[in-house]
Amino acid sequence: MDDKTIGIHVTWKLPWRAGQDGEMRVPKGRRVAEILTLLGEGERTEDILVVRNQHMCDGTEELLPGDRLIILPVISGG
Amino acid sequence: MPHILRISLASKTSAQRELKGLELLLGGRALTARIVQDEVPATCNALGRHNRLVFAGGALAGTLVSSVNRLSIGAKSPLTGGSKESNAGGVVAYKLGRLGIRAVIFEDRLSKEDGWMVVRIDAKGVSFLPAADLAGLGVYEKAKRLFERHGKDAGLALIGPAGEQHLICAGVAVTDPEGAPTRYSGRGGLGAVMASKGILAVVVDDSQAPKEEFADRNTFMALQKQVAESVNATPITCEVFRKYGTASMLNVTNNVGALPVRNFSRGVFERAREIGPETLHDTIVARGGEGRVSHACMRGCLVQCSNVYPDANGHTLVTPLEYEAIGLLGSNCGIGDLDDIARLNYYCNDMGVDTIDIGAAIAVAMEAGLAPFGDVGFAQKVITGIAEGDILSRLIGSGVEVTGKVLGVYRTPSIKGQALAAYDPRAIKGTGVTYATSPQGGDHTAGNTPRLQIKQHEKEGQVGHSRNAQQGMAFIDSLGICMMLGGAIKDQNILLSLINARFGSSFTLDEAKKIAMETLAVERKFNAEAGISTVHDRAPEFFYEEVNPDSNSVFDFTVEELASVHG
Ligand code: SF4
Repeated sequence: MDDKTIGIHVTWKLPWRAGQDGEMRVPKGRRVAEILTLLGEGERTEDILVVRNQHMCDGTEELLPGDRLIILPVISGG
Repeated sequence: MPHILRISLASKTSAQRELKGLELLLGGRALTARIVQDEVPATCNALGRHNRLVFAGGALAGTLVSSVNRLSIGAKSPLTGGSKESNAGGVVAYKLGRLGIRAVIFEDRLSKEDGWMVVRIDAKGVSFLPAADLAGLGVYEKAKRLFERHGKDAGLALIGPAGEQHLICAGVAVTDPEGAPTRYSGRGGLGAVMASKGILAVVVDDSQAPKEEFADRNTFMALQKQVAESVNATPITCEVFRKYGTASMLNVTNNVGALPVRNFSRGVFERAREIGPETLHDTIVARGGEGRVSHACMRGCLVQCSNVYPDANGHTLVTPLEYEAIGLLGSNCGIGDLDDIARLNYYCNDMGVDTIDIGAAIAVAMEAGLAPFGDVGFAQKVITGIAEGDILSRLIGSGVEVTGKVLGVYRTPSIKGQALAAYDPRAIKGTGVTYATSPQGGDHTAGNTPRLQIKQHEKEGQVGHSRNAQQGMAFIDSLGICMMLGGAIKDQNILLSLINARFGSSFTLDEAKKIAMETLAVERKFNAEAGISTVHDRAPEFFYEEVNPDSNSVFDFTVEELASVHG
């Protein structure tokens, strides 16, 4: 186990990332907003919501080991 | 140039007035709110002859720009007691727009001797047709007979048995391009207002409409193409909505503890997966037949968030099956099966009632002990019982607030008489502030905030978020466009450019935004005159006192904070 990365769990709810859920290791000390870039969705951050441990994020929070992220599309209505 | 059609029901006459100057920009909610303010005595009985019923499209209605043909229906609401606008998709606004009609005002009411009537609007004018034989029929059968009489290309706005009985949760159904009478102006009891005027249905036939002369057709067509490209280039709008529809919202709410479950007692539903967007999509695909995961509720819509949900044999069970119905008739009643929810949705459509208020009222009845949560048979019985005038059904059809009062239920989720939609105000606090402070009552469409990348369950900044959302929705509703289009329109100036190319005007975005802001003020003024003040800008007490265990939060805004939204 290295000390430069942490383990998190990501569930994707973006149609184009279907089936990619799972545990992953990401660099330590990163904020939630940065994770989208690391995960390859950096260009669409405006269209994406991140739920971290059952609360919606504004992106400023630092990721911690064991965090569970759900990555959702922003939708306008309902 | 577009005009306003005024129909005086008592004398069965009509007159037109052409729109001029800045009026050309007025549409949808901007128009309904102003007409209600100018013409309806605020203290009148909403079901009396002094109320007006107003249909209005936006400045782009009648064209094939994507998602611009919403029909706003407005009146003094018998449910909230205030100014109300509820808009729906379907084909009626498009057809009115093609006939050059921006709005229709129905004033006074038909006489008792006239009996029930259908009002027909076409290129030759307005006619009044006896319709006593349609009374008592469900919405689907009424629509079928009206199409037999007026041709399958007519557009219909009609009411069901709930409206006929003046139940204050009755809506107005609008037909879609295939003739399904299932696009609803559901909120606020506008179906009861239509019934109080003696009207069972409005038929709009645009088959003889003259070809429209655009001020600058080439520019208009180029801009229309640009909107289409923008929709298709926005993955969130085109991929998510076309695949999952509005049900995709359930993944947001259930994951942040905001989905109403068993009368708003929880925010996460243990059967969410069974009623979620992926199951909805996969079921439709697997059953095939008439099922469709995406569908346009109006001509020209490229977003296509609507769907057709089939039964196991591939026959249509209901269209559309949307998030609010899944949340209120489903999880909020403890019901976790999409077929059951689809059937309940169908019955609501057929009776002509608002799925949101009815779902909330059934859950309150369940909390009162009339049936256990999850009892589909009970829910079906009370909805379909409206057709026979069953007293419990009439109670439920009068909405959650009346139901809560009659059954003595403390935990009644209503604001200004109207049920909250499928967003718990403790978990998505911006929407909670909107529920509390909107002149429309507990209505998410007045300014919904779950799309914001913020800490939804925390209080900070939410007053401002709600204010922005309320102003933004007033803008969208005043242009008569669909809120689902919002994400694909990166520069709103294109909407004004389209209007200017159509009419040869030079309206600006600032002018359109000013109209939207004034619309909110006009609605609040009417409400104040009707006796609804900032004192009524509150959430029900239990949301302040009971922690939602799934978001671990309460609704914690002070009176002063709520007053500052429009202050
Ligand atoms: S996006 Fe959906 S609700 Fe809006 S116009 Fe299109 S089908 Fe109708």
